Amino acid sequence: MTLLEIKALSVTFPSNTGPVQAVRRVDLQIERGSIHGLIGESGCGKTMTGMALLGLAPQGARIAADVFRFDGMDLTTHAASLRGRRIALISQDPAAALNPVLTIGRQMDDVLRTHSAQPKAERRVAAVALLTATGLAGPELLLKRYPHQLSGGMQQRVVIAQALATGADFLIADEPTTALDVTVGAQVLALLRKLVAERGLTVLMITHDMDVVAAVCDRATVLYAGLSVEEGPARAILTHPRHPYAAALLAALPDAVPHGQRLAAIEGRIPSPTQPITGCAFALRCPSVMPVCHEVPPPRRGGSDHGWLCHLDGQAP
Amino acid sequence: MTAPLLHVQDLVVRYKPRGLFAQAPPPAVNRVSLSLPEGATLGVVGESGSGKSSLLRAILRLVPAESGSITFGGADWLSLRGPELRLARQGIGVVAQNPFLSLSPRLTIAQILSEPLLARGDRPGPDMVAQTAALLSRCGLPPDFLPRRARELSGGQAQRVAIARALALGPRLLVLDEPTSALDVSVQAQILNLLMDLKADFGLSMLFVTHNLKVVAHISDLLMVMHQGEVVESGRAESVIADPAQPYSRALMGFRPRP
Amino acid sequence: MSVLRRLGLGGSLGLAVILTFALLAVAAPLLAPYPGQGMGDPNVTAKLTPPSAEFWLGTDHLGRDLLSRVIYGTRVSMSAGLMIVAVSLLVGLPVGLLAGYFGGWVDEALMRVTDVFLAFPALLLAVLMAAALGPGLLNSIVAVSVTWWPWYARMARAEVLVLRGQPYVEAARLMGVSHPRILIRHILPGAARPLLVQAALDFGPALLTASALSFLGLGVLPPTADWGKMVDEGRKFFPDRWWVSTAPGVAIFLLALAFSVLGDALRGREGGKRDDPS
Repeated sequence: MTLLEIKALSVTFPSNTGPVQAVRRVDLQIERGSIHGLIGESGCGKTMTGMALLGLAPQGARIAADVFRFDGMDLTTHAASLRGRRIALISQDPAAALNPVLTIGRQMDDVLRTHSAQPKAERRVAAVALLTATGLAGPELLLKRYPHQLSGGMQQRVVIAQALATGADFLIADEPTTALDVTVGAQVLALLRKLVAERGLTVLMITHDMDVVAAVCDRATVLYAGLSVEEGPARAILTHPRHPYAAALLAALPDAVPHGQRLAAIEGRIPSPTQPITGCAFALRCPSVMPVCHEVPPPRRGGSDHGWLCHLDGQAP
Repeated sequence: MTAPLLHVQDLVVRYKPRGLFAQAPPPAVNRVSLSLPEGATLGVVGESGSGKSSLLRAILRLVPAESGSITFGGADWLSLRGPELRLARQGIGVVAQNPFLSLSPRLTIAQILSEPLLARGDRPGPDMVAQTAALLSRCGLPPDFLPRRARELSGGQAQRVAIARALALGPRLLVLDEPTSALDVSVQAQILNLLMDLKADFGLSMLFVTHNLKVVAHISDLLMVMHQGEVVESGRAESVIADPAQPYSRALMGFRPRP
Repeated sequence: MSVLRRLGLGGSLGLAVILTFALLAVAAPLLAPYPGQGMGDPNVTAKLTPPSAEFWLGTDHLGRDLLSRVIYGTRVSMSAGLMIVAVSLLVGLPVGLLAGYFGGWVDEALMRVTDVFLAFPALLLAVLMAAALGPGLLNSIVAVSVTWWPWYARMARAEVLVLRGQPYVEAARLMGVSHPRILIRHILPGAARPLLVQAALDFGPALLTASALSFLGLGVLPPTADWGKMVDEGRKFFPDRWWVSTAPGVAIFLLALAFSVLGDALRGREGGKRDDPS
């Protein structure tokens, strides 16, 4: 069942030099109980897409979409009220998401109190249960601790426990492991996977890291210059990418070629968000570019399971 | 066999206890030894708290070593003091993680690249301008970047400037501290390619410190994995990647389905 | 006019007032209706006349036109404020730079000296210094500066402590750049900017302190026109001949306020414009 459906989302900022298009046209469809990867490099609009879903786009942003629906509700009007009830954010820096001068117990309780009329003792039991559910050992002791006394991985687990405390069933995880060590990050990813399986959560995993996609995502969408250029099963995108950008991104990884050989870097830069795009956004950097790519926006190819925007029929290297 | 360019023997780095009555913390670097032959690249990998940064900072003489020895170019590196150290440091080029922090925000690229040359005692003039332009173009940027400032550049461009600056004095050793960690994947590939080219062209020796095993494994000849201040695995890069002996190294390799 | 837009309405007004006073100071002989009286010539036939068409702000106890006196007084007051801030900056900035950069015993020694100066109430110390040095404009500038520089030293030190740990400063060290050059080229530009903003903010208080010393008879010597001195002279005739004190008092008030407002506007800019690389 589809939990989130977005068609042609755009986020634009007016400026003196013309509109800044942080998100040009993003389509997204996320099934309930799945982890969906939103893959892209800096400036591709992946974080801004997440912020729009949370109703947290910066002031002055113009959000438009043909369809912008979460569980039957229109997000253009409901995003802010769903945030903290159905939708929660797991950010890159857990230390910044926690208040440094309050104990973990107090912060958990603050969240629980706003979402239920339970008495204090029951809220405490609930907090302990949530901390246990996120794999934190010794939760009673932890309630008395301050964020700085916890490691980054533990902090991120507390943030996840807080998200669960709100009762949210949709988590937007914005690079949740980037600030963590590889081994700790892997544990946090495993925790998210477990929560999805046990509690039927749905996760939008915003990331630039293909290893994260490989580890936890069911499906994924690749963003480039504010456009969703390819969407499909995560495994298919990682092993047989169809859009030349997705293919180039994977080919640029150090383990894509034998040891010590030159890597397939993508030359050039992402188009500026102020720049209008006439043909294909990737045309200037694409290895398989054709004259038509500069003139005509690429059509959507493939089927409903795996689709991509390209003038080529998807036989990209 | 010729002597290695950089040799570290039983190095111990320990930070001071935080309070008056606090116990001395465990050493950040515990009896670490390494040998970097001329022209080779050594990758040092570890997570936060592994001691890789402390090792690097001790080699750069930014933190004192408690015990152990370091020789660089055959000379006792730890005994150098004051002006001697200042001059000797010019034999090592350093590239830091975030180019926007390691390049002076108020100076132009031309001024930034002139800085090491002036420190050596070169005179400003047309020769120096030509030299900085040549450095820049060697690192893949045209000379019209010279009058710009770092904040006007992209992350990849700024890191190229930082590499150019590190190469300015023709160092024998290039020390790289997480040089691609702040960059996008596609840009990371450009920088790694540049480093491989420079290594081939100049026969540079490199010490590459990072948390990203896959990145460093790719361009290193030798690998050393650190964990809690100690070396847990070391050897030729290919063999460490192909068959990581330690579970810790395996975890650092990550996992991804192959096509 | 992007400068004005950045300063906002208040800052722009402040700047306008300061520029007006600066113009008055520079062009005093041309703008003052009675330049001779401005410089001190008595005019005994018109003692203590109230404001009129002839004397816009009235005259003082020697019959001198107060408008001309205030205009000439601008020269003294502004140069006193400027000199105090400049001297304090010239002493405090290097002290703070050295203490912050080298740390250790250099820091200890320099900071203990500044602490000694900070331990005294500023105005009291200035009065004591001025009394010891004797009256006169230069002496009062020295007296106030002595109480002023430690603040700049403290502030510069704090800035340097932050900048010293910046990767670009470390990079310079690793390249073998010499200490003086690191200080001047890599640290000073970053440390100086917030200090210059503080200096602009301090101009008003400096002016007030200098005026206070004059008011107490420790500033300029007659017949030179000085606002603080003029307020003191008019005090004897207050409130019957209110205008004698009012004219220079309003001038002090306006200029001090203008600097304060401009400084606030500048500080707002500074706060929003750090050297954030991101």
